[in-house]
Amino acid sequence: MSSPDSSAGEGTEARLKQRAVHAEINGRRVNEAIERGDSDGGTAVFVCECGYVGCNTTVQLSIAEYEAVRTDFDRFLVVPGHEIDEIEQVVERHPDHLVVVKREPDAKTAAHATDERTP
Amino acid sequence: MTSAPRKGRTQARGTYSAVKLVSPAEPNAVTALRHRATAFAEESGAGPELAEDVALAVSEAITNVVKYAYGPEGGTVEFSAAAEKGWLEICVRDQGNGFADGNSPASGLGIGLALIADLCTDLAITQESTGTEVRMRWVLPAAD
Repeated sequence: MSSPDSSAGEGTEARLKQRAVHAEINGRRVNEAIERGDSDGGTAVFVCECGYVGCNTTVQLSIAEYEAVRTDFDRFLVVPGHEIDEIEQVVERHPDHLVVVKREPDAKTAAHATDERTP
Repeated sequence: MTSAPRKGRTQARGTYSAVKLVSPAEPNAVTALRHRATAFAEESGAGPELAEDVALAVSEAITNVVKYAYGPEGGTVEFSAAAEKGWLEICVRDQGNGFADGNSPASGLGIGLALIADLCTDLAITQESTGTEVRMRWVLPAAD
């Protein structure tokens, strides 16, 4: 897994940041499918919505807990240690998961444009 | 979860290699097939950045199938990958609803396709009554 570190060149860094944002958006879309498949409204195993493309980490949450993450378009679920400071800020810390929000306008725009829940 | 590869050969860059897998269209297929795609890309000569582009594009294509192709009855997703003459090609197929039933290109289905288009060299989408095929292609780096 690569992360958008500051040692990369400007163009490369921008590309890595864009890829990380894509990875997070894809994780959120996968979790929407997981949530939809949970018919009893109990708990489900969600994927980490971090920006590391190869991340396989999962976290078990209740549907209510996941919905508490999804109260705004730019809030994403990540497991502790998977937050990427260059692109996001931790706004909530829970024992098994964090909630992060995007720092940069382009990332916020992408998060907004790809959130099916946002009108 | 996924079936055994129906076809596969050890890859030497510039020669033909292919793999084909069929999986239930369930969320865990995204991770499993993303990993298979990444491994295939790397075996075919893709560097780390290209392999990540492949991984993300395949994740999006599989996610679209899982989210939109089928109703509650479910279905399958077919993944095939081939590398030949400097190109890597990955196809994701389903036998589902495609853009029918309110899945317009402007919906979440289209969001995934837009991301895929940004990640690959060529993208072709074929919609038929028997399902949808998303064909993604990348230029592989020249052999040393």
